Amino acid sequence: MKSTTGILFELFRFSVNDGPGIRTTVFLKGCPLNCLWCHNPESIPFQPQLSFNNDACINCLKCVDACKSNTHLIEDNKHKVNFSNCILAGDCISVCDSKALSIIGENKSVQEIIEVVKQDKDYFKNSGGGLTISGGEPMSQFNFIYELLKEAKANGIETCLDTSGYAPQDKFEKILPLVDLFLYDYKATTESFHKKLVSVSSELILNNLEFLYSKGARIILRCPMIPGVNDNDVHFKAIAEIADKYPILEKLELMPYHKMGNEKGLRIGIKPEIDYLENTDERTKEKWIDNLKSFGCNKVVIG
Amino acid sequence: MNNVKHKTNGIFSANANPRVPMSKEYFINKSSSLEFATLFTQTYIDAANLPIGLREIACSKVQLPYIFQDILDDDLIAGHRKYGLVGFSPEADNSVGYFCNKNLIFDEMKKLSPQSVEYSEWKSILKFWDAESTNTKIRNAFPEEVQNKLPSDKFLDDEYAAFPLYRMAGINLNNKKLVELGISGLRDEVKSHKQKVNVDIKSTELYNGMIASLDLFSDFTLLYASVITDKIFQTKDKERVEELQQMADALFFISEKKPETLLQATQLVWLYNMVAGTINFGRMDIYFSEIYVKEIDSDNLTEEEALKIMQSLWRMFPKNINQFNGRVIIGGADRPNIKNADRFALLAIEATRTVKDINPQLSLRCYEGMNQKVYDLAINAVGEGCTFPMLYNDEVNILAVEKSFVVPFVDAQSYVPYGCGEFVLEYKSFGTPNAILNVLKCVELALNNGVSMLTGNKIGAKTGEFENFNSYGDFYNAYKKQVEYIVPACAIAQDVEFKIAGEVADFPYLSMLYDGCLEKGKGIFSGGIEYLGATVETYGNTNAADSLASIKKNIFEDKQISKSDLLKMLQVNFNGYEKERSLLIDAPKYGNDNFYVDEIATDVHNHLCNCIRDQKDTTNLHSHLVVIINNEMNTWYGKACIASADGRLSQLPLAPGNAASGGMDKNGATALLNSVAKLDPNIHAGTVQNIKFTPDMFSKHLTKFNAMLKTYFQRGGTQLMITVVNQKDLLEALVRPKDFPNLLVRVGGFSARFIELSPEVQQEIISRTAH
Repeated sequence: MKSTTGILFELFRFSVNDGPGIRTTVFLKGCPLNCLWCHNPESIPFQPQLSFNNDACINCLKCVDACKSNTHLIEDNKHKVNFSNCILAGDCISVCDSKALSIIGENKSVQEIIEVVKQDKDYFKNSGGGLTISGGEPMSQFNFIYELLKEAKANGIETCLDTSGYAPQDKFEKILPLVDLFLYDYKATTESFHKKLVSVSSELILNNLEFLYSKGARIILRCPMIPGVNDNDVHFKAIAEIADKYPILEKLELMPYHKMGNEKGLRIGIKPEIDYLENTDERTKEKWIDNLKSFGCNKVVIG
Repeated sequence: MNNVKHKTNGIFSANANPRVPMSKEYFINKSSSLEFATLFTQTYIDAANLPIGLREIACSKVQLPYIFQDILDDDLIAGHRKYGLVGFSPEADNSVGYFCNKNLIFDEMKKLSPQSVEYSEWKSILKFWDAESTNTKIRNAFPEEVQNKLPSDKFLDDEYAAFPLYRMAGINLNNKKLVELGISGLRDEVKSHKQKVNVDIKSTELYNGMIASLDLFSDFTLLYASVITDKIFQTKDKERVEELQQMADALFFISEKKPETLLQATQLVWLYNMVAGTINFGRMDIYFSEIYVKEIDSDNLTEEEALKIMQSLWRMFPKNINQFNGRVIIGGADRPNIKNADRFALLAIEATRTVKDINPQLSLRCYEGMNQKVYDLAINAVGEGCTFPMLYNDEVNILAVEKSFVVPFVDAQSYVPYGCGEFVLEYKSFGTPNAILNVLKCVELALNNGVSMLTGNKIGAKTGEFENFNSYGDFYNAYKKQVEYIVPACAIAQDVEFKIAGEVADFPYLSMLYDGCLEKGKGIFSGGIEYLGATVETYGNTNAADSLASIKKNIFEDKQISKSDLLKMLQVNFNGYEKERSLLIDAPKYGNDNFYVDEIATDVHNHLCNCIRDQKDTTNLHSHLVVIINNEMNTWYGKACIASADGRLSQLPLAPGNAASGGMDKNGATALLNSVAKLDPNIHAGTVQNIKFTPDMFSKHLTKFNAMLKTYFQRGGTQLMITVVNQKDLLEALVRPKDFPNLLVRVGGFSARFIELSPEVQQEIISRTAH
């Protein structure tokens, strides 16, 4: 149904980092995982939420007067935000002339999104691109993405699903015919470590990978690499074993850590778990590639 | 002119033979001298009763040794030119024909005591040219309608919606013919035309003037050669002596003979164009490729030597041609020998990459099936931040030129962009932009019944009070009437300019190398050229469209802001109206592939282009077309506009060319390009589309960039001017300019070193979205 709606936090055109070619990426809100390094922290909650950009704030304090839920407070003559009090009334946003306040997350229908996606169809065709559904964990808004993918295919648009793999297998089975390419994450090795870093078990994720691969799905395996956190030999060895086990993976990409998520987190009142790392330097990336090679894995690239 | 005391040394009198030797002593940096100004003025007066062609030769003869400068230590070709404070040129700054640069003369006078002889001599020179310069003659010849509607020439100070300009801009000579014939061959051709039967007196005078011009060029070339020969004896470095000898030899050779080497051809084309007063160089790969390929293939020249010659030529451009001109065109499917031309095109791009300067403005005509090597090297140069070559889409442009210029396909194929991006047909058409129109000012005038909101001056048409308009349609009509009020005056002015230009001079150097003139025996502006057209530069098109969209949505549809409040907030620059300004900024903006505003932008575009094009029917102009280009006028015209309904603050710059307003394109590059491609290319004579990318786009996503460009061109995009910079570098360059000497950016229709731009323009560049 074209009128099915989903909640997204961004509809991003001319995306060059979310799959092959030029793409339009739909970023959905809501994720059952909680990765320490999450670069889209605003994608974790399933509901819309207030965002406050301190850099843009001119401290006019109009929001303090407008807010009825005690979200905006004055401390030391400065504007402070108590995010947990926010009831999304929106009163503060309409008085904020400097555009420091906004609500992240809005409902859009399949139809609305597909109209925008269609506007770049020519670019998709010439570049081998298309629609990417990312998040958050898109599989958590299953009905919506199912309809969206169906509509995209009906319009001749190639599709890509960026997933952590954390969803019931029957849903993957159902969606499989509508997805041209999976961007599938592999984040941590050993069960306890996996739980510690991403807050859920890896069992379902690995089973789904096995399932999709066995069904002939095209898969790019993407491994987020966080220096000092998961770039250890156990993990590299496991990645190499996966590459060995699934020889016809479309691609194997290492996704180097970048700290863009931290600033976004602060805007929604989340203090980053990892606040001490810089963007990954080139030498570290080369070292990872060498490490993987030492485990016999040669087909890996930096994503 | 009685008190001008300098003797003319008998260099010219009515009976004098024009081939009197010129003196080397003038050659060095005396173009700004009183001596030259006096001599030039006296020569002009002495020749007052001669046919215009002979007067022109007499003046050129005096002018050449003064305005040409000594060579520099690393030059391989000669011909640095610096015009004097008076002189003759088709397009020196904002002037045509016989010019007088008042401001520079004032500067000279300030250095002198008002009691001094020199002071009074400058004063009398000023007085003389005040009445006699071609610009004055044109201004005086404007009919009443033009005088009333375009009352001022001071476009930097005044706030009218339009101004006339004075120049014969956009000359693109037939350099191919020049290279193939050489001076003697060209002279023979002129003579053969002269000997035809039924040649009238006027034509005979023209042909005589052409022959005299070629003689003068030849003599001047020899003079230049002897200046260089003198240098050889003062030079110790053996390698340099060798180079100087080659330069002198080349000059001697081309003084009569047709060039046989790349060095000779380069010297001939550069010097002839500099003498003629030309500042755009047309399709260089056509006219240099045969000689280049022949020399390389016969092992007469190495690739390395060829590159050195081109690098030397490339270095001549920024020293002699302002940043708004200096076009060199490569590419195009209609080139006679594509294989050879592409070999030269690669050399030209390599020269651009290695010299990396703001001029020449190398431009590549792209077409389906073009040489992949040429394309790849071009994109490589762009990705390296050269801003060149600029990319033109032949698949769209040729058909568009055919329609807008109303010319046969075969002529349309010869289109070249010149200057900031105006199209002309190389050595077939003229399209000088001699009017500048401020489109956003027309919106302002429509809001205030023809009265400037900045000063209260009545400068537009009475189109009714804003508060009395009941619908957006009523208001939009008022805007259109403001445009229609001023546009006819622009066309009439241009018509007059051509007429006067043709009356004061034959421009033989141009006429010989423009199709039609020799055959008809007529000077270029006296009926010789095939297609005599003109263009109007429009500024603020984007701000106008965005403002109209805001007015439609926020005022007439959503009624969030009352009409009287809108006028008030614009008047006070949104002080106290921050919330309303925020609403206006949030209204749909051009550059986002948004249907609502793009429809308005398209309509503004169509109305403007059609209105201006239709003036050809009421004038003698073959075409009269819009060019949506950009120099620094977006900044100057911005200063003339009060705050606008798109949320722009008072007197800030307008968006350049067809670009989105700075930072307002928020939907990515494809959305921006989709908006741009919606504007009909078949009704104008060129636009500039600027887009800013980060280096990552080229280093990591090159194939995606190529696909994007291909798609944009397939969707009807006409061209793209690409700046590749890190936003971080721009910000750091503000703080530590010395660390960023070679940070090149495309401002609008020209490139610049970022650190040399004014703070306002720097901010405007920073505000642009980096894709």
